[in-house]
Amino acid sequence: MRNFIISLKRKYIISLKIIKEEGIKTFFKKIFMKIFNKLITFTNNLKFKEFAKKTIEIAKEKDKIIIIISGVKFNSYSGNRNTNIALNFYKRGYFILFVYFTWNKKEETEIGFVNKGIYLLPLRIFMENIYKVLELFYFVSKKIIIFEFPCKESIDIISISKIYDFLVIYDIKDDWEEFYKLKEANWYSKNIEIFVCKNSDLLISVSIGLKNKFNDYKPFIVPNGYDPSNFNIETKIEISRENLKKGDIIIGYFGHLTSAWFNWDLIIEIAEKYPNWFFEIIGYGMPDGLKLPKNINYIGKVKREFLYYHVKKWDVSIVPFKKSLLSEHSDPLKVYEYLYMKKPVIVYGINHLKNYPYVFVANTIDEFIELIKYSKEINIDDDKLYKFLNNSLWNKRAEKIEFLINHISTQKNIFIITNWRFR
Amino acid sequence: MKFLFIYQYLSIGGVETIIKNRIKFFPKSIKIDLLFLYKISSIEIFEGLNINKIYIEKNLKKIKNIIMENKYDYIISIDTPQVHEILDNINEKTKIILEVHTGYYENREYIRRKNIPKNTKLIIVPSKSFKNIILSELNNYNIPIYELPNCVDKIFFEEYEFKFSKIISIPILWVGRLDSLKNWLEMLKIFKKLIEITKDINFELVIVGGYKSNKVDVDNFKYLLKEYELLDKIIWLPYINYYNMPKIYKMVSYRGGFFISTSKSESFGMTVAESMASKCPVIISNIDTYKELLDESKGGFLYELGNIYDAIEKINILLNNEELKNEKIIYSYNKALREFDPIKHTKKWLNIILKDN
Repeated sequence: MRNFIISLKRKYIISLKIIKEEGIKTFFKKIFMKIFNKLITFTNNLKFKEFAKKTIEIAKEKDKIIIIISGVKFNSYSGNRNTNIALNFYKRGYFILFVYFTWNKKEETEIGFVNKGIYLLPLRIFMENIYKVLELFYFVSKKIIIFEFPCKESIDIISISKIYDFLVIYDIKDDWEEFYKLKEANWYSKNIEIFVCKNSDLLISVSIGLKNKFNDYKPFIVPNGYDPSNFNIETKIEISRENLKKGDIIIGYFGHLTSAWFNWDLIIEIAEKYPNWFFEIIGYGMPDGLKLPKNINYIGKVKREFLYYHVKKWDVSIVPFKKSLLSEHSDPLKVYEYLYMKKPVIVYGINHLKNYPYVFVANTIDEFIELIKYSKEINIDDDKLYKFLNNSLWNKRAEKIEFLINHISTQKNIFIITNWRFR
Repeated sequence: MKFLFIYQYLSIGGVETIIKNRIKFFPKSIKIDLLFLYKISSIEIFEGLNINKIYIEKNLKKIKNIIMENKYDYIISIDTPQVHEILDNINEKTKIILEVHTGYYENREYIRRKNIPKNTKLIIVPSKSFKNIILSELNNYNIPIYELPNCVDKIFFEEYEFKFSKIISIPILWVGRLDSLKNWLEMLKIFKKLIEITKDINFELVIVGGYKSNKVDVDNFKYLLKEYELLDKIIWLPYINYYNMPKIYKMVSYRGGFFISTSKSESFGMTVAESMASKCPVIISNIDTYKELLDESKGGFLYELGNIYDAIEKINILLNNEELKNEKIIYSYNKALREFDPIKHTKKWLNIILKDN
């Protein structure tokens, strides 16, 4: 009783302070937010109980589980690799717990089953219940946890998951350190990333650049991929070029437009030099206040299933990135997708892509221009292209990861300081 | 003959390892049951052994029934005073053997209170220095006490081949529960100071443990890893399959590293003995049990407990004197072969308990 009175008195003093310093409106707003957050927590707890019940049934049946620690939501416009890894391991018979990061509680909108074998859970709730969640899978024979980014929670997740006999994988899909240097990933800590590398049973990277960067930990390269079912290209689409802005060449791009890697200067300079070339730019994250010439048409976001309506009319596709470690270490998903839609690709800033068929890498702006002209005229050899594309399907990527998992799972933990790092 | 071993926890600790090693080399005529009060890990450590039954039971009534029904010839209780009341009231034909292995002072309260079942034939402890501690804690209680060093599994003596292209850092191995007795904080302090002083060598601290540790200790440990800025130099393996441990010791040794123990107290020093058998050099605190294990410092390096500068000095001597290091490794290995061999240990153990039967 005494404690209750003290606590009430404390709350009364705090309330008076808020009203006095921030006003009555802020006070009620804060009260409302507190009640709202409590309600969210309550609902989430209920959902967790439901999750536990259903999960046990499914995980028991499948006897193999993958927990994916993702930096973005499952149904995000970006983060396609995380979602595709989840989907393809689900197809291979795994139960998937897709744990995603959010900046705040309001963003925790995706909770529950996507289908019978993929469950979505915000990272915050996962961390609050980590022991309970991991214990649910005690009886499962094959347990894997994949980090798609080295979040600050990694230390806890790795140490606890090892107690529950999980195999830990770090999937290096971006150069987070370079993002951090460009002030695009303020959550990043180099020490934590090294801890994740040192303490993972298996490292995979999307590019040769990232493999070299983390070579002390011997990552295996598993590049990005694509999934034909994302694109509606079987449908016959008739688009008249006459309805479009006139131009000798139609050049297209889709994806992230952040100035951290997108080379706006390059595109604007070419567009100004060749006013009869038409650029179609699809995506998000364009810097504010950018003035574009008339022949650059910024479309905005387009859902994947509608991309083909745009891409079909392009002559060539482009990846015009700035020359930097960040670019050099990336393996843009869009390259696979452009190729699937049979468009040659002109690249600036990512040298390693030159090994892909019908991908041409320019080192200067003049080379970029020449390659656009050249690739407009080339005939694409379907056999050559499909051989490459067949090996780049997401299910092939999942197959490779599963092969690596099977290869090291008998040596879990011991592998870290014995074989793989010193092969 | 029917034997029952009783211990509190079924996990992968030192006591379970000793029981397992003995069972391997028992004559087939001995029928063995095991009783654990709590199950912390799977029974993998006992798989494939000649065991009649493994009970996991904390209910004292049920334990009593198990004991009464089975009419054991010998019951070996290892640091499990919860069952002593039951053992006090059983048939006189059943002989009770107590084994004291716990280095934790608070867990030996039963010894100080003389909570010893009346049929107890003798007490076995794993080292001379620990025997002295028990003798003083028993305070003139009249019961024979035998010292018998623990044994180390044969797999630790086996050679293991590594094929590497390059070595990127020198590993320092620390194994144990994350608690104050094992003194992990001192380990972190030594390591932090070492990397501050030694800029030209890349060290890596391999921590094996944390699985059975208290959450508060684990949280403190994680906090200090960040605070001391050691995250990028740590490999932390909270759980290791027992059969993989020899590879870890040998790997550490192969890469020019060493085993370190900062313990404040030990009854024997199982991990040190395992290192010795694995030809992994050791730097350990100068507690009595460790002095006994290393025959003062013939088999390794002793540093003054609490003195991190002394530990660093010993590390530097080890890293800069290959000949001296190898001398100590060979001494330790030979001692381990001689004294920690599981076959010899099991014979001696049977001799002790069957004596004057």
